[in-house]
Amino acid sequence: MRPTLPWQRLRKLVLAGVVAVIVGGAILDYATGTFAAFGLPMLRFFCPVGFVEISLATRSIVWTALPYTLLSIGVVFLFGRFPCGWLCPFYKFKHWLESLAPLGRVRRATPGLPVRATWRDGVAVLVGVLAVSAITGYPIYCIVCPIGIISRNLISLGTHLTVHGDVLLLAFYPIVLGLFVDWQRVCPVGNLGAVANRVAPLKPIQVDEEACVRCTQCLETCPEDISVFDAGADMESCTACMRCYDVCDGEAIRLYRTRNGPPSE
Amino acid sequence: MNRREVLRYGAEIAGVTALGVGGVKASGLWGEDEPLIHPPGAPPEDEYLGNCIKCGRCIQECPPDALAFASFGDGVLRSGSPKLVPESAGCIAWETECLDCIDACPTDALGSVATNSAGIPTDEAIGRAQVDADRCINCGNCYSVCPTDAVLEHDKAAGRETFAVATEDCAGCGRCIEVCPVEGKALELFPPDSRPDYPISMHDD
Repeated sequence: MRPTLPWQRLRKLVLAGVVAVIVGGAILDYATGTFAAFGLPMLRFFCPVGFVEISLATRSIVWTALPYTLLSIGVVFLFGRFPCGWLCPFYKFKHWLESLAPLGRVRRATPGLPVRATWRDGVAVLVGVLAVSAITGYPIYCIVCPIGIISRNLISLGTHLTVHGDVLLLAFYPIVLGLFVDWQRVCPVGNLGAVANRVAPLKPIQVDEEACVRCTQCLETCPEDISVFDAGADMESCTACMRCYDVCDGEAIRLYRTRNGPPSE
Repeated sequence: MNRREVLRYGAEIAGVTALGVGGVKASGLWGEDEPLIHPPGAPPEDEYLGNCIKCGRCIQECPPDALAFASFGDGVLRSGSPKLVPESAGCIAWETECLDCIDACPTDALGSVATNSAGIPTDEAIGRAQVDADRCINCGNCYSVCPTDAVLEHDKAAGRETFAVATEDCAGCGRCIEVCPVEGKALELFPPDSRPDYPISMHDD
């Protein structure tokens, strides 16, 4: 028997815990950090996109942040895109906003998204963002990053009981990008996980073909529309949310196994 | 990659770059003259904004909650970076060993500051306070709270009927503004290198 844990509840608890730590730090005047630079003074994670941005903007390597950036990249390389499913507050917020009428109704009325984005589009957006930082000397993405906006507002709530004006920008992403583009496939930060899912030695989800009973429940439950039971499935957008693991009749989903072969197209 | 893909990704890179560069250039023209007080240890603004990822650790850490996120009204490119809001609280670094914001900063946006043996900054000024003589009610709150003794009593300030600030001695901590009882405050804080509206200085007289 494989271990069964209430994964979906755990996932919500982890995210709620992180939010509580950020707001709590703001109330108690202790820098626990945010999603941009999370952790204690000695052990912390640093946003890789932010790091490359400021290094290009200042035309120097920001040594103070380098070890923590490498730590973040290492964790994502090992475990893939799990931060999107387990830690990203915007991912949850976006899903919730999209489920609301009239946004959801418009979305359901559209046969498919007008722009079918892939992780490659995400890499192109990231290259563009980094080019802007290099040209203007300003880390442009930090100001519009939905994860950053949520972090700043959590801190504003904790310190001054106010919201920061940039919270309004958050509406932009689900409405414009969520309706026309798959935002989670374009997000410059999340895409690092997509690349990791492709090239890293471990695959977050893999199907044991012998045990698979072809019930296709994994397909129906997957929020990213991944054909999970297909051995050559394209795993870039897998956020390790464990929904397929939970519903699998044949207990055929394996977590974090070495990949069977090279990623197929 | 085939030709269509090259065109597609090339167009995306060019589009994002053009949009971003245009956006930064356009917003740089707006709001940058607004006076804004940075936390201690901030380098010149270009370098400071190039290093700040707007993570907010300094704002979380600040013991008196004197820091807040700058808004779009403070200048679009400054939005999300920390600013001192002396109306709610002043910086305590000149009263007691603090500079926690510098410790909390995960990049070089807030650099180190020279301090004396008690941990008080020696050469740093984050702003300059000035008294608006028309609004000052001579209560003396600023005089008693000023950690660098930069507030001058009216009888000492030749030809003045109110309290005044000796700009050269002011560190810009904003504690005077925090304690000023006048509605809308009778003191104002200006960036250290700016030209204040009320240039009052003993040393100039």
